[in-house]
Amino acid sequence: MQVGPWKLQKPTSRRSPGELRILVPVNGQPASDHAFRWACQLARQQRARLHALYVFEIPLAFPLEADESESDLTQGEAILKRMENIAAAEHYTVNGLNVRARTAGPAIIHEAVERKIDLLVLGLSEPPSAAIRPFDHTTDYILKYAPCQVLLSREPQAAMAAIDR
Amino acid sequence: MDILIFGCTRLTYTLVPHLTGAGHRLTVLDPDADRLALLQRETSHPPVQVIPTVEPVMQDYLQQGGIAKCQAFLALSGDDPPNLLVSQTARLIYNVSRVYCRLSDPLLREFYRGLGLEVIDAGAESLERVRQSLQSEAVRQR
Repeated sequence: MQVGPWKLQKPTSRRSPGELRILVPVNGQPASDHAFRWACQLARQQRARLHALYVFEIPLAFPLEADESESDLTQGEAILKRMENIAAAEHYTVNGLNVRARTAGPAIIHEAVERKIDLLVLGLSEPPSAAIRPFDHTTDYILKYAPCQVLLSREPQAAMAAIDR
Repeated sequence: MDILIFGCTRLTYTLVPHLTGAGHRLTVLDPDADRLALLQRETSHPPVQVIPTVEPVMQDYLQQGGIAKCQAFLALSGDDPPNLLVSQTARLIYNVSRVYCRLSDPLLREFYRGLGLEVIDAGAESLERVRQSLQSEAVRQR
């Protein structure tokens, strides 16, 4: 079976505790919330800097610099606010990032490079074709181009769980 | 070697006697206290340390189980998603030298193997491979 091609960084070069930087892309889905909670616990134990990134994808029909509508702004801010609450419940703090881009994958990689991120934590929802392909396009892109280690948090697949039962 | 095992399943029951017999020190995490008690009764010499957890599994349990200083980590629970999460954490965050992740889904096995995770199934061949690999690692570390 053909897999990849993904080239992840080897888990060898590590910053000391207190210098580690973790980035969690969030989109408001349960899988992303779960991954963020896990990242909070990781960050707390490693005393890492934690960033939550929400990418608002602007459709090609609109210019990148188009004014954001009230609802778009509210959506991103609401999600980041919820991440702050999750972080507070885990006794930690998070830096929320709200960016605009055409597609989420390159925007996430850009932030990871710019902020010298050491670990990306991704929450995976069940993609429509889970039986054929386990990752969505954004995850595929990140796995191919991430400049750092990537930790995937996978949501239980309801359909597969039903089959197993 | 210090070995941390996530999940007290049939696989764990099968593997633990071999590992304790080889002199490894084991800690097992599982939410089911009855399973842990049974494991302790069946492997009292030498004893296995057990840590009951609550769902969802939190980082604190991994720390409590000594993940920061263990030489091998085995995710043997019956659920693929938690196995994947704790295995990647052991490998990427704690740099555990030997990490084994049990996955039931054959597609996930291939994809995560492609990502560099040491993936096993519930078959006897996998267990024997793990046992031999841990034994070689123990010899190498002496």
